[in-house]
Amino acid sequence: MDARCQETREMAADLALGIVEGEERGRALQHLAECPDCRTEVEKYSDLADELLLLAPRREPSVGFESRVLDELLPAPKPKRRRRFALVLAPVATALAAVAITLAVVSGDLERGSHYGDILKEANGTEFEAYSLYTDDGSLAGTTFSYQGAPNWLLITVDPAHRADLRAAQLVMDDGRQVPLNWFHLDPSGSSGGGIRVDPHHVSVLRLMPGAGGQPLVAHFAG
Amino acid sequence: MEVDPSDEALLAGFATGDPRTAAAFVRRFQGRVFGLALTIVRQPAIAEEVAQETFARVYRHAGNFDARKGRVSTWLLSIARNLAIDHTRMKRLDPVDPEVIAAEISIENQVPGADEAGLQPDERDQLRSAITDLPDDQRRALVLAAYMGRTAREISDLDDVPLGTVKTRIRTAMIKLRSEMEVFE
Repeated sequence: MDARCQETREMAADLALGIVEGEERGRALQHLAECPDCRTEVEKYSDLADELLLLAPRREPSVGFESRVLDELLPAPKPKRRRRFALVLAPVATALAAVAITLAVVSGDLERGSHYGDILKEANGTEFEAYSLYTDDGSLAGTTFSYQGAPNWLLITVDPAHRADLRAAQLVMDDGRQVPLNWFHLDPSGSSGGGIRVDPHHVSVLRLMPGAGGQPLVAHFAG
Repeated sequence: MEVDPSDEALLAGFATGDPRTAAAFVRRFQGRVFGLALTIVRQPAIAEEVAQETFARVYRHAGNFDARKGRVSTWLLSIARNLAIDHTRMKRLDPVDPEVIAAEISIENQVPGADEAGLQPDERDQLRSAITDLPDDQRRALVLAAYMGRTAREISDLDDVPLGTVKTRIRTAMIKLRSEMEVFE
């Protein structure tokens, strides 16, 4: 342990409480970025600082608080760019291309062709839907296609401006469960697809998550 | 058997705007958030403003939450604490006596929430006892720093004691409390 470690550990408690200022703080943070042992030491005090806040007594706010919060935050439902297809699909070029690509992935023995009703039947499909992906500020960022059949699957396509640094995808189910999509990885065309073990009818939200500083993308399935 | 969704799952649902999970998220944490805000600002109307703003900030920044760095509850409470401190300063509220806060957080046997993570209730009670047992000057400095966001220099000016003394009081208090927590690890 060198002098920098010594100095940093002496102020570990102060750092955890956020009461160190200026140059002293800058020096310590620089050292912590390079020294895992000192980081661990500060983290122990950070856990304690967290626990201190949890000692504050619970108190219930006035009646209606929950509604006020939700009314302020949750936007009125956006008109969804949603298309429901029966066994005979509308001739939308993008959707057809997506079906063809993904069915080729999921069921390799299916031929791409123009008889998509037959393809759905062959894959025990009952429903094919499309939902828009949005950024936080409501800009359109791509489309996700959901297929209910055997197997169920998703195809995600992201517009070029929003592809950078998307690292993970997850489904949020109606009951709040999170289901990671471990196969998620955008190919050079901005697409990713794979099977899902959950019923698409019970998916509430698809969420694409970026690395630090990036923007998440969200598609609402419900409604 | 039905299992409650985890805090992280509810946060994810809240962030995406799903009405059901958003409502469940607010219900789960509103008591904690409002309770902490009230502890700091002392006025229910302002504490509700703080709590509402806390949820708004969480909604906007949920993508920044990193489960590897901490729990949802402590992330939420850190935001609430900082907003409460901001409101106290902006609205020039009368500063609360740190001993009042120390007394409130020392009340034992509070009913824990089903979602409580971290220390177990009896461990938390032991931490409360340890705070009560601190010498007055250490407890005061600790509460000023942990709850009221005062820097060591500000506490030094406020209490008219040397900066080094303030730092020693806070460090000594934290070391004592940490040794209590280590018993549980």
